[in-house]
Amino acid sequence: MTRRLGLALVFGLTLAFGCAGEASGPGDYVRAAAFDSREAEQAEETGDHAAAIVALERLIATHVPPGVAEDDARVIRQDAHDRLARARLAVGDLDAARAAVDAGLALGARDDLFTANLFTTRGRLNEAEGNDREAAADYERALDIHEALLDQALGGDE
Amino acid sequence: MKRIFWLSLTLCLLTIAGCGGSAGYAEDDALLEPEREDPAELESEQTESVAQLDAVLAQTEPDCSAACDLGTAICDLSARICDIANRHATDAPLQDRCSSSSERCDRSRERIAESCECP
Repeated sequence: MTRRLGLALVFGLTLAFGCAGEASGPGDYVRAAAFDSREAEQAEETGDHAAAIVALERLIATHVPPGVAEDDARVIRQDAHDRLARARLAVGDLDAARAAVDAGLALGARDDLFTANLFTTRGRLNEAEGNDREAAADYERALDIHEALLDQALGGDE
Repeated sequence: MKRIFWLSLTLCLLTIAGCGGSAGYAEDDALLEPEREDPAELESEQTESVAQLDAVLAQTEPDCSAACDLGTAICDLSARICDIANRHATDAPLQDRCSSSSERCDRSRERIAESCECP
């Protein structure tokens, strides 16, 4: 499942279950997160890393209200941290990039695309800093997760 | 004539009693054919059937779109690892990582090709 499809599913399901009978709360959070995510994506497509950083930091700073499933919140925020790290890396702010990646991984590592992306980005960051062995280890961790996901996609254990 | 009449009547009555009696036999539990399987066996068969049903329901078509994307990502990661290894020709662990990741890339491609056609 691609990152976009995964996020779309999370946004959609959380909106569907979070909106019932509430004027604020999970529905508002998800709508705001989806708005910021879309804004960041549009900025990234045009190479405007500064604008992407602003939108992603706003998304990350938004308080997660009660009612949003823990795993949904984790996925939304890990994706934002990963994209923020990549944007920071693109503008050469390696310290801020590392802070973003570390914050994303601190939310909990899972065998999913969002965690895999964080390991890949940390690998790129380590390469940029000249930490080649650490970078290779990170890429290998990301590869492990992708292989596990491939097992699922092909519908069997091998 | 009287004798024939009483004989006929007796025969009729006996016949009717026999028909009614057979119904009575059918209701006698002691004479019913016993169950061929006991509840424990039936439960075991049911458990097995449920497991088979679960297995059938669990079988899914491969998600080829995801598989193709994942295959690409696996091989990209392998390429990155090997780029690093190429910068450190004498580093055995890095060389091993490169070899291993290349094999995993190849294996992933083979597995995907068995079920999917990637663009």
